[in-house]
Amino acid sequence: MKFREQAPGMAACLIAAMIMAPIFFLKAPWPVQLRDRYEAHTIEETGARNVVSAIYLGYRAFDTLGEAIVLFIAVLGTLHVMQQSSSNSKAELARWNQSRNASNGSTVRFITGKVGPIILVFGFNVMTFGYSSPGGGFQGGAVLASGIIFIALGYIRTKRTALKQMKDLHHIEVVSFVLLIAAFFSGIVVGTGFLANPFSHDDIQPVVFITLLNIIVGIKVGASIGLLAIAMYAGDIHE
Amino acid sequence: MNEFLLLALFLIGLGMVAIDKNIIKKVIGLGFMNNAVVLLFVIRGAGIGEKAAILATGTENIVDPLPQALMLTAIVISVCITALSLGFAYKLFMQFGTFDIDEIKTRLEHENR
Repeated sequence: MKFREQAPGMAACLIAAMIMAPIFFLKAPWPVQLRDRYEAHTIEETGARNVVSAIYLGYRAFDTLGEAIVLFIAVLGTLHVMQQSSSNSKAELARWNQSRNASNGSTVRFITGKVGPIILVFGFNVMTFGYSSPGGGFQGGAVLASGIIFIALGYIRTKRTALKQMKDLHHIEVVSFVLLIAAFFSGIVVGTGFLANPFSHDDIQPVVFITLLNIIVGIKVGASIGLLAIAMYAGDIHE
Repeated sequence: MNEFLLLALFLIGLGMVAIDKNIIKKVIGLGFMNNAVVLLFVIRGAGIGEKAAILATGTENIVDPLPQALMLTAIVISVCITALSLGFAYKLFMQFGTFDIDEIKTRLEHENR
């Protein structure tokens, strides 16, 4: 590669370094007021011991709603792009099936197929106990996605099964997205407001809401990322 | 020292995006930049406090949980960006049979002529 071709990119890096350096080397003290407030009030206000879960499902749930929408749009866009770009002839299907059988050794298939369900259980564990221990919806969802990918590596032999699994995952994703929006709007029905916790009574602990949202967010994130990975793995979606 | 390494990581990512010709390496560079920013936020937020942000009875002096909560969503968004750009890269590869942007550009100009 010639230096002339690289010069603009290098200049961009230099300028970026000069702009970013003050941000990276900032010596201003980090403010402690918000931390102190969370430390003092999180348990009585949300019931969650994990403050990070309490923030992204309670104090800043709007952030999570936006993130869910972005994830949904990204999945739709990726599937659309992958769908348009490749033909789906019979010869190509046969070639895909053949290459898939040749590329995955039986050892990989055996181990991933057996380990996958265990990873799924671990993902649900991380989601369910995310209110009081390290973990939560997003982390559990990522674990869930890796379990889904393991199962796909273990059990997807033909393109037809890949497409079926993608269809199922897409349904799960849409349902969990609707459930998430319904949960965020449930505060309006009860009278506590949009994105607010509907369980502020004495009979049901408010932490139930956090756990519920953790599970919904986890299933949504897991299904979305697993769907993206399988879409890449299988090439395209349509049958 | 941490900040220096993170700035270096960020600039490596930006350099991959700006200088490298291969689309896949550009996507990897985007991931590098995102990871640098995420780590910077978490490290700066952990500058105050010592304990993890999980309130057992009597836990005091926790790190700031807010950057961690925000970066959690940023990581998922980064996965979205990577997936979408890989999808576009796949589409370009199906169209032109190459990941080299210079070659794609010359072929586009050749087709439009």
